Order: sequence, then C-alpha cells, then structure tokens
Amino acid sequence: MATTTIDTTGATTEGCRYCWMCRQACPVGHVTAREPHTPHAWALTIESVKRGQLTWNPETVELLYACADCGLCRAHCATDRPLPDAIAAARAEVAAAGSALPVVYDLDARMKAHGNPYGPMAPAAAAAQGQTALFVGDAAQHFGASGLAAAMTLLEAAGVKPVTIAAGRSSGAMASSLGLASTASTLATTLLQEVAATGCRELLVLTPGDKWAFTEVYPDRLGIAWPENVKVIEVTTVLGEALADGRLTFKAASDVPAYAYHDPCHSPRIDRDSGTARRLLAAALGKDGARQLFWREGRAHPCGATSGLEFTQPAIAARLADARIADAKAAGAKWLVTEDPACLHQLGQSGAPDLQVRGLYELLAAQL
Amino acid sequence: MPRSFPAETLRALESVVGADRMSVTETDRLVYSVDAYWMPQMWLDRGARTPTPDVIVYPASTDEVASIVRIANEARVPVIPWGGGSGTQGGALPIHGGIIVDLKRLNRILEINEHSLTVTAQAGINGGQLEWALNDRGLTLPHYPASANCATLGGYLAPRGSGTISTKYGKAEDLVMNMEVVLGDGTIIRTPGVPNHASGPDFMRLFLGSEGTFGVITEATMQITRLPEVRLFRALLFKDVASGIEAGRRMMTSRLDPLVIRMYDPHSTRLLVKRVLGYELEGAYMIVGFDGFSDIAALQLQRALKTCDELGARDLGSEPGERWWNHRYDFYYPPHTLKLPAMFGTVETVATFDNIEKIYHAKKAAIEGQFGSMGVEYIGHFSHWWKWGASLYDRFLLKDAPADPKEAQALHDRIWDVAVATSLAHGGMINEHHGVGLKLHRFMRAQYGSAWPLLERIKHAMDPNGIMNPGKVGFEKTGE
Repeated sequence: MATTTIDTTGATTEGCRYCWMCRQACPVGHVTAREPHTPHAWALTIESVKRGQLTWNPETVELLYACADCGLCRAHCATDRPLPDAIAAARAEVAAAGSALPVVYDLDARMKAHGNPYGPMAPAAAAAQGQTALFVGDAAQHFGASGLAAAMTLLEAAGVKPVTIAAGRSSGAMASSLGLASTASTLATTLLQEVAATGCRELLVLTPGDKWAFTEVYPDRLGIAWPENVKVIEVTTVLGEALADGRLTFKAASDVPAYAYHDPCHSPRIDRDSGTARRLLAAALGKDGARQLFWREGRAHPCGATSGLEFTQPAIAARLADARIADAKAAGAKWLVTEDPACLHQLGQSGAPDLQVRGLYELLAAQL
Repeated sequence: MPRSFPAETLRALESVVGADRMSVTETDRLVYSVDAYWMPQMWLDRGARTPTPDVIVYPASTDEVASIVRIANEARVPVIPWGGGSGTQGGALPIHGGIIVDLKRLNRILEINEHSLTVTAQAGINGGQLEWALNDRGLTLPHYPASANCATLGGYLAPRGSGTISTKYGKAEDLVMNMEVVLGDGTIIRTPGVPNHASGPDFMRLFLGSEGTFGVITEATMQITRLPEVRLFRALLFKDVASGIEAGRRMMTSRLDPLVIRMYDPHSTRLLVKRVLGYELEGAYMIVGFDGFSDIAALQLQRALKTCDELGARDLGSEPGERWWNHRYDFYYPPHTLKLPAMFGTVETVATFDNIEKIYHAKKAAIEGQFGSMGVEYIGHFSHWWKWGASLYDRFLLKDAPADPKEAQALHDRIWDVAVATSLAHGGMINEHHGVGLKLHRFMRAQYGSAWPLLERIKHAMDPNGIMNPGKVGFEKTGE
C-alpha cells in the first residue's frame, strides 16, 4: 500500500484540469462564485506549477488551501477521480517545502504537541478491552461533551456498551488534508495501536468524517491499511438498526418546531444510508416537523468545519456555515440538527437568532 | 496585469464591486485564459501562455453589470462575459485582454411558476443546480446538454445550445420566454414577456447566438415541464448510417414524438460505445427514447421499433438503451473524453434530410482523404433531429499531434478549413449547437454571404464602441 504523493496523482490532475463536470457539486465555488475556486481550477493550478507556468507562492498557495476537501467533486465524478487526494498531495509538497500557509505549521505544532488542533486536552488512555470501541476523537472531546454523553446513553439503550478510545486525539484526516502527511501518519499509527489494544472488532464513530478517515484516508492517502477484522460503523447506523428491530424506542415529543437535518461534512463521500439519521429524528420528534434542505444527502454541502478549512480559510468556512443556515431558513426550519460536534460548533457560530442548531444525539437521548 | 490597462478604470470598477470582488492575480488570470476549446489548452499544455484578462470582476446584480459595462465603454476596454467557462469554441476567452465579468454570483432563482410552467432565474445560475431545484418540485428544464453540470443558464442561451433531448423539446433558444440583457453602452433592456406574438420583430432572437458580442444576458425566463411518468429507451443496431438516417427521418416525419434519436456511426460504435458502454458491436448503434405517460410512450416506442425493423435494424433491447441514458454524460469525463496531447475537434453541423447523409460521407472522405495518412480519424453521431433534418456531431481525432504548438495549430486549422468548407458546400451550417466563439469566427462571412454586413450593422447598433467580447462570432475588434 503506497502513500499518495504529487508524483502519483499526476494522471488525476492532468485529466481534471480541463474537466468541468463536477462543478455543480463544489461548495466552495458555490459560495464564492469564483472560477478559480472550482475543482478544474485547482487541478489546473497544480498542473501549471508542474509545467513551470506558475510557482507555489502566497497567491497560489492561498488558492490551493481554499478547497474544503469535502469530497463532493469525487462523489459526483462519473469516473471516480480522486482529485481531493491529489490536492492533499500537492499541499503535502507545498508544506514540505515550507511554503504552506503559516497557520498550517501552527496546526502541525499543535497536533504534534497535543494530538489535536485545538490545544491541550489530556488524551485519555484506552479504558479497557472490548469487542466494541467508540472513537471519540478531537472535536467531540473539545466541543461536544454533551453529545458524547448522549451518544453513550443511546448506545446503552440499544444494548451496546463500547469502550471509548482516542478521546481528545485527532484521527489524522485533518492533518492529511492540510498536507501534513507525517503528522497524519503518526496520528493514524497511534490510533491503530489503541484499536489493537482494545481487541475490538467494531469501531463505532460519531461522524461520517471519522468513517472516511479510517476507511479511505488511511489506505488511500497514507498507505496505512485498516485492520480487516475491525469494522467501522457509524453510531447512527447502530441506532438505526436498533430502532428498526425495536431495541430502541422513543417517547412522543411535543412542541417540536420545524426541523431539518444537516448531513455532516464528508457524508457524500462515504458509503452511507442518508436516511438513517432522518428516520431516527422522525421516530423521536415526529415526521410532521421534518423539512428538507436543498443541499442534502448526496449533494450535501459542508458547513465549513471541513478538513481544517475553518483554520486555513475562516472566511470561506464562515460563508459555508452561513449558506447552511440560509438553506435551513429557506426550508422553513427552526432547528438545524446534526451529529458532528465540529459541525455543531461551526453552525452555532453563524449566529442566527431564529434558528437553533441542535445536536442529533442530545435530541434523541432526550426522547428515550 | 499589463501596464496599459487604465488605472482609473480599475478604480472605477472597484467603486462598483469593491476590492474583494475583483482580481488581478496571476493565478486567477491564468484560470480565465482557458476554456474547453482545444486551442488554449494545447498552448498551455505545450508550455506557452495564452492571452489573459486584465481584471476579473464578480458582480452581484444586473445594475452592477451595467455599471461595469458603462465603465468599460467609456474606457474602450473589452468586456467578456464568463459563465461556467465550459464552452468549446473559445467564446469566453479574453483574446484582447480587458475585463472578464464572471456572472456566477448572479445565481438566484427568482420565480418558479408551477401554473404556467416557467422558471425565471439569473443568468449565472449553474445548470445542474437549477435542475436540482426544479426536480425537487417534480419539474425539469428539458435542456440536458452534456455541459449541464458546469454551464450556466446564460451559457445555455448565448451560444444557442442543444441538449440530449432537444429532438422533443427543442434547443435552449426554443425554451426561452424572455431575457434581461445589458447592452454595450450599459443600457438594461427586457424583451417582451412571451416569445410567440405579432407585436413587432422578435429582437430577443438577436441575443441568442450573439455570445456576448451584443450584450450580457443577466436573467431569463424559461419554459419548464413536469418530470415524465416514464422514459423508455431502446438500443438498435443498423447495418450502416444510411439505413439509420432513413429510420430517423421516418420517425421524425410520421408524427412520432421521440425524446431522443442518437445514432453512432460504425467507427464511433467500435471506438466509443465499446469504451464507455462496454458493447462490442459492428454497425451503427442507435438509441431511441420516448417519454410521457407510460401507455402513450410505450405505443410510440412500439411504432418506432416497427419502423426500424422495416429498415433491417437489430433490436438490442431496452437494457443497452437504459444504460446509455444513465451513462450518457460519461463520455465527457476523463479518461473517456478526448484529451491532450491528442488533437481533436468537433466539427458538427446541421442540415436537411436531403443533405445530412451526403455531408457525413463527404466530410469523412475529405478528412480521412486529406489527413488520414497523418493518422487523423473521423467519427460521428447523429444526435439532434428535426422534422426537416438532423445534426451531425462529427469529430476528428489525431492521437499523435505535432509537439510544436505552431505546427499543431496550423494543422488543426487546416482540418477545420476542410471540414467547414465541406459542410457549407453540401448545404450544412458551420455549427449546430456549440456556437461560433473564436473557433469559427473566421467562417462567419462564408456562412452569411451577402447578409453579413447587416449583422455587422446590428452589432454596431448594440455595441457602438465594439467592446463586447471582441474578436468573436465574426466581429473584429474595433480598429482591426
């Protein structure tokens, strides 16, 4: 299994530089409305540098880091071209040359020092061994204590008692997106050691982004194989199965306003039943209040808390969050619900007094 | 940015859109120096740079577009509207520098009228996103070009685009009700609300095909329709192009109402149908499709199959037809699409049934005859059908193109000269749906003959100082 580098992604950028066919899906291009903020332009920029027509300078590097690495271009590509991997590889080259955005090196230092980009959070050691583990990660520990607790409550109600691992530590996906391949590999290796120490056969994840990290970033970008005997499963999938077979039931909710579900960042790029979270919400809150966002399911745009964009391009990240809020309002929703703690934080910062951003796990747990 | 671009013009533009909605960076200017036309791609690929804009602006309203055009008109600098940048004719290339007006911020849907079945939207809206919004309501804009994912509404209209189902629903120009346009002096006009009237000349049509040389389309109202109950497809194999064209002619002239008739010539069938769809066949591969109520569509399909059977077609069944529909755009994704360093060009045309087969054979003979020894291949399919004729979407392809860009360009232009001359000599048009742009600019006088001066007078009335997308659609830059 080989690491993805700028040398191995040439065929991708060469083909994508003059292909416009995923334009409709790109969230950054949508909110900035600039041709240079589109997949074809990122590929063209990378290829133009290779051909000596541009150089990696503050201007080109700024552009390179404007991609959200959300995976929508690849998800909408009829021939499944891994352009996000190629962009990450180009960033790795830029970062190794010392030409990346200054904030990238700050993040690298923080991830090396603390295991996460947010700052000191004493990473907890593996608590115990068990067949089922739950990856907590960085954002859930930093932003989402209540969400994590609610998820554990729901799992227990469904008859699942996982041991928690990697509390406060990043998966490595963000580091990979930022071009910090070495740091990403270190984080991945540490996580795999912890997974092995638990002896688990199922690793539950709170977010689609974590599933993407383990099933795609590790093997495809970092050249690190995920253990074949450990299945990566979203918590919502476990809860959805429990709901379907009657292990999980909810009491009737009252006074539920119109609500809409935000498919968390990275959702469209993984194999996922986008109906699961919606069915859980309908069971707990009722179907009458459910509203449909425009940017949903296979075309779900990210909220900006995507692969480090909130650090490298906070203005673009904020516009993505604003766009999600606007979408929810246009749908008539009063609650915007999602499960990814980084999404909840990012959307919550958008500041919309007439729209509440609510955690999926907390809402479900409240109806047990 | 070249030093010749007036600084006061830059300041004036900034006063309209603000510093954060304009760019003069080298990277941005490079991105806007290339579209889906082979020529600039080839130059860049071979290490040369192509003309870049002096500045890119991102207006958010029609008023801002009008202000930008007024400033450009006063300074006598070119204005080039930019939508998705996916045109194949070089129509949006800033060959004389100037101001690129990227219209993608004008991306709002203003009204969906489910009673009269119309949609009004700003011209910069992405075609795929517009379609998603309509589909959410069970509606569709029945213009399905291969560029739907990337082109804008304005880009549908400006070059008179056709889509996959134009055989039933017409071209983009047949679906437009009215438009808002900013003229070359900054005047904002709106065409009458409905297209079919007797209240004077239909001047809206002047902007369809003008590709930004008469003005900037900023808004349009389009006819839409409800998503059909069914779409039925069938694949057929004809022994040759002649029998397939005759089948298409009979379907189109016998009150059947096909959604699609698409027939690949034997070479395309061997090359593309095999590569993209996986079928290894000898002959001319045809897809026919019908939509609407299931019983009516089924009956139409049945009658169409009878016609094809009379002409000796082999019925390949519905699965290959459905497969083609579900993968119809796959042809345009890498690695399936034609790509550098090869040389290629789509020399498509349209003509009456009297002429279309003659054109196919004549172009095939001319291109293969004159350039075949150099390795140039000729392929084609018949993709858009009318009650009077059909379009021929034909291409030349040279896998081992000259490495020297000047040599490559010269050969490319020679092949184009032969292709266009052959189309014109046999009653064909120089283009059916990609537009003219830069690529076919030099053929417009031959196409229009004695009518060309009239078009030039109209251009002067619309754009007295020649600032609108100069060097395209046959209109030279003022002073040249």
